Amino acid sequence: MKPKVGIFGFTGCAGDQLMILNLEDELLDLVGALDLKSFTMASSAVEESDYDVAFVEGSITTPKQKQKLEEIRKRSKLLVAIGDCAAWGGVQASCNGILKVEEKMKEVYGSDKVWEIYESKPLSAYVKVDFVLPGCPIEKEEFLRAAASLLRGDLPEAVDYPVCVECKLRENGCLMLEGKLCLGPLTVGGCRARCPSLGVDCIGCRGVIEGEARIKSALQVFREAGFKPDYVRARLRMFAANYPEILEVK
Amino acid sequence: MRYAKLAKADLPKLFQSLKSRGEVFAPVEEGGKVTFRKVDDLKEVKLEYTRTLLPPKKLLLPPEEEILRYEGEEYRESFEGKKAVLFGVHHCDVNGLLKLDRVFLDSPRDEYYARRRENTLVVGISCVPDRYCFCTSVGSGYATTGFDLFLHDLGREYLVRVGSGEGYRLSKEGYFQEAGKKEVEQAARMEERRMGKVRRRINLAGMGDLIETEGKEGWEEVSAKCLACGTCNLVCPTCQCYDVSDLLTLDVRKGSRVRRWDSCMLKRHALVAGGLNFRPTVVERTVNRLSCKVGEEVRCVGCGRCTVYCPAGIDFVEMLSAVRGEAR
Repeated sequence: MKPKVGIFGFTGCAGDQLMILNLEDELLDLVGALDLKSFTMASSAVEESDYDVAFVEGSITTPKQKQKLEEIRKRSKLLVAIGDCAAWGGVQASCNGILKVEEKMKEVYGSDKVWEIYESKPLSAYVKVDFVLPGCPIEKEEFLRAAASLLRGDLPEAVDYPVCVECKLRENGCLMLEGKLCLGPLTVGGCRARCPSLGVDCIGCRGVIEGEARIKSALQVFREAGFKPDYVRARLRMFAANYPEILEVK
Repeated sequence: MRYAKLAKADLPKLFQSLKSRGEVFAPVEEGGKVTFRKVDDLKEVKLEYTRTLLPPKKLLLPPEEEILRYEGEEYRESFEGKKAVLFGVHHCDVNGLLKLDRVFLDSPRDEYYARRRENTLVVGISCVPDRYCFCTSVGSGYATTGFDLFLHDLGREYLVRVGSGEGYRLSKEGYFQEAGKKEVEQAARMEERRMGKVRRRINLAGMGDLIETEGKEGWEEVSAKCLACGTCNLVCPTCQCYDVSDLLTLDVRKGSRVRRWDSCMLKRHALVAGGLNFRPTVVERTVNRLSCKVGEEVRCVGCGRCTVYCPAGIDFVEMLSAVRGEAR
């Protein structure tokens, strides 16, 4: 029997769902292997169901989203967070702890009582997340590999090494040694060091390596390289502001 | 050992002959760095260089390689037996290959490495040391075996040391000349001068014991800036660890098994079933790495890569001096 799958989105740009749709060569194999119950970005035909696997994109920013997420969790055997918003709260979390949502609302709408909203938080702030496919957006190949593992009944193999690994395997010179603020050492690999391979310093879009990233050491190295603390903090916060060690950075 | 002489003007002839034996990989300068890659013309080759970012190891043990393909219960190993030539390998890197040989050719033999090694000719060339080299302190300043031919620059000609049967056959080709005591002595003096330029020293007496008895605080100090990025391992000519993954296709029957260079500074290197990690922090990982390189056995060849390419600017030699309690 094919596994029942739902693909959902909350606050974000829907880029991760789009990456799934962008799997043009593999899409037919993929939908053929799954019993796709819900994927509103691809089809308005939604079937109420329980799910073997729910793939969830986006961060949680409203009470309604929180409620819907909790319901998805109840109906799903496995819940997989896809993309940086679902994994870390996304770019919209980058001011968490610095600027209150009410202040932001007031600045944009002139009133702080337009909607009831939360600070942008990852799915894991509200429900148990079984697996994370990181990235902004996710990597298509990584999604396919994960889908294949799940189809076999295994949890996928998580990438837990930094961007530097794939960067060195491609024999790139180090951008930090060229004086750039590259977040490669703190950031989850799996992108084949796409940006550093083109000479562009890593902005950390695949999120921080949980429990591993050496934030304090990086702060010291960046400070010694002459980067201003505000700039370093803003860079670290862009995709991983909710990571406790980054939230604390002054 | 047999010695021969090769006029520099005849180097293209040797290059052509090597090309006829297989694809030639040599140091090439591109984008501000020197790297081993396939070359068709001797003109592309950078004969004088300090070090490549990745060691020539990458051609015998590729950074990533498919080791087998499977379908259902059936599988086929993906061996590669292409003839190749590694041209322009430095003393330290030749010695690095010898250290890898001990791991991959001795029991159990690694077929993937072994077939490449057996099908690859190694032509060494003397080097230009810089201030990061410390090969002479770890016994890797001079290659005595591990190559087919080794070229020593004598100005207008090369003294060629012959290190294998295949090298012997090459050295019998018409454009080689006989070398006598004079050239050998000249090369020896030249090598002495070259090794004299390797100014960095590292004192390894008792180092294995010092590493074992250094306290946690000391290790935290030496590894304070470490980003645990793995670069030191990935650029090392003697790091041998790899990780293996299965890449399954959506039909969950077919797939390929690949291996990729691993690093003992990373989380998964010591992660075992059940989630236990027996080297949970950078401290344990640093102890392990240094013990592996300069503990009971000296596996470091003093090429300086881990220092030169460390994004945090951590200096391997200084780290060991600190362990010894010497002022940095």
